[in-house]
Amino acid sequence: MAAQYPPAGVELAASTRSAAGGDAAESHGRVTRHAGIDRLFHWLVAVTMLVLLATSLLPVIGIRFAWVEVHWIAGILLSGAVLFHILRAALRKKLRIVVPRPADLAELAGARPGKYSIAQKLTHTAFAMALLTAIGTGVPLMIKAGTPFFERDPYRFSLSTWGWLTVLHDLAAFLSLFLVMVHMYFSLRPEKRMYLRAMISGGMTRDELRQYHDEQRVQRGE
Amino acid sequence: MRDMMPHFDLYQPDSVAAALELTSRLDEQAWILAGGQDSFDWLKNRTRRTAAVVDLGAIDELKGVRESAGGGLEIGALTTLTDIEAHPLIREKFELLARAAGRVASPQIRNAGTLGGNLCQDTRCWYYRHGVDCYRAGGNICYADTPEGQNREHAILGASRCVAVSPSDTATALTALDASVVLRSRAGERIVPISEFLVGPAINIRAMTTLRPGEILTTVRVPAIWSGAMFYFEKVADRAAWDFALVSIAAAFRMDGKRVADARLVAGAVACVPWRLHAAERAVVGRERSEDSAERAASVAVDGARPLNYNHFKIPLTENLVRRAIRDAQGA
Repeated sequence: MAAQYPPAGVELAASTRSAAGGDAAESHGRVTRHAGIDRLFHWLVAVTMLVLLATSLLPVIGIRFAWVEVHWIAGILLSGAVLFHILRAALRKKLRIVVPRPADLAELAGARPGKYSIAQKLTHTAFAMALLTAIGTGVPLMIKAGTPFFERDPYRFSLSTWGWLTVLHDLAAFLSLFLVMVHMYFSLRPEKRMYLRAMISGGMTRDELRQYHDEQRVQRGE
Repeated sequence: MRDMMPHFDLYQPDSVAAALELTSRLDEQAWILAGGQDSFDWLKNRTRRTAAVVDLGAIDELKGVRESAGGGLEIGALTTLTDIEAHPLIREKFELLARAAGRVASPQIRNAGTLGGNLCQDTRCWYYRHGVDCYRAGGNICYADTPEGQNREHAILGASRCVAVSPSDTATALTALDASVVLRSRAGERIVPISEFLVGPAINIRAMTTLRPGEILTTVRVPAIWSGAMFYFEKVADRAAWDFALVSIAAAFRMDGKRVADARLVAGAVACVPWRLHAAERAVVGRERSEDSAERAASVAVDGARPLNYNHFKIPLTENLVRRAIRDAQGA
């Protein structure tokens, strides 16, 4: 069966679609990797996570400022963005595209990945675990911190429950800090910088796609 | 047990240099003692313990009131509250501070208590003073701000997790006078506006001042800008003598003819720091002091207040004190 062009999961940028036709046009054409709404989500998450990490960790190292309100407001923005992201991915049946699968292990033997490499899928999974844990524990912690959403009541849960919520929230924060550092490091590596460009401009070149990804796997939505 | 002082090493330096040498060496272990009126509670009750106390009481250079070059005053941090209440220069220029100092606790306490100690004293939240593991004590709960918490004396403004209030009467007056404090350490000297020296829980939930380990508050500087202005100080407490404020008001007005050219209205015991009532100040500046302007200022004085279960009364009380301050302020 002839390969569909453009393959599923990879959309040609509108500006180059009309020029697509010959090999030269294809090899120099740009393919869309991230839709505008996905990029907006990514950068909103990036900003809110940096604000959350700064407001939680800077006071610990002695840089004192009024951080609590900024922290929970950023947390609510992050929660809203994550909820939107999950719903959108579920409705578009794209939840599995970032889930690591046994077939991804072939990449360890040199096979090219689909849209996302196994490393990217694992990073996404770790981010998802950290964020869902932080959000899941952060919402009840708002009951104790005092926000307009809940009547402040530190007796709502037992001391040990509060303790576990705090420990899990803090562990999620430290995991997030580690992941952000790893993510930023690799996004700035020269051989990975195309992914950063794609997250800014939305696309990558067809050459880059062919060089680093398996178009057939991309076509299958993997 | 409360009558007995626990064991600690006592240091009694006779100069600021020697005291700084000690505080630098002992760092966070040093408990700096001025008049002792707050410290002795903590130590005798064993709510807090320390290995070393640095008693500043023998340092004469930290005592006394001097007129500064610009017409303001420099007040040594170890000047007693009694001396401040009675000092002719303070009474002549900054009657507000003299009145506030005269309303601190009892005569016996004012004889021993110092200006620096009064500024640096810890909050009186009884959950915290009782030694529970609240936010301010390093835990992660405020026991006062709960559905069942007893919070009659607590904050209605500026709370952030902890709802304790500043108990200092002189801090309220000095905030109205735009004073600053001189903080010395072996590394040098910092001059900090009192509005930045006193911090709320949003900035630092474990301390009420920005005093760092190794630093000593040596001097309080009162600038000349409010010298001879019209002042008003009133403290409402459960008992007229020997009690902390439920709400207090410190006000200063500089007049231009019959109109208010500039104003300071600062409420005490409504927040963790003396709380400037900016909206009320704006409401009265440019107008004559009258029932009308007093009403106008009072109506906006505590906008944004968030009362707790048992301290709603602080809202009308603060509003009434603002009315009275504008109506009844007097010149020196």
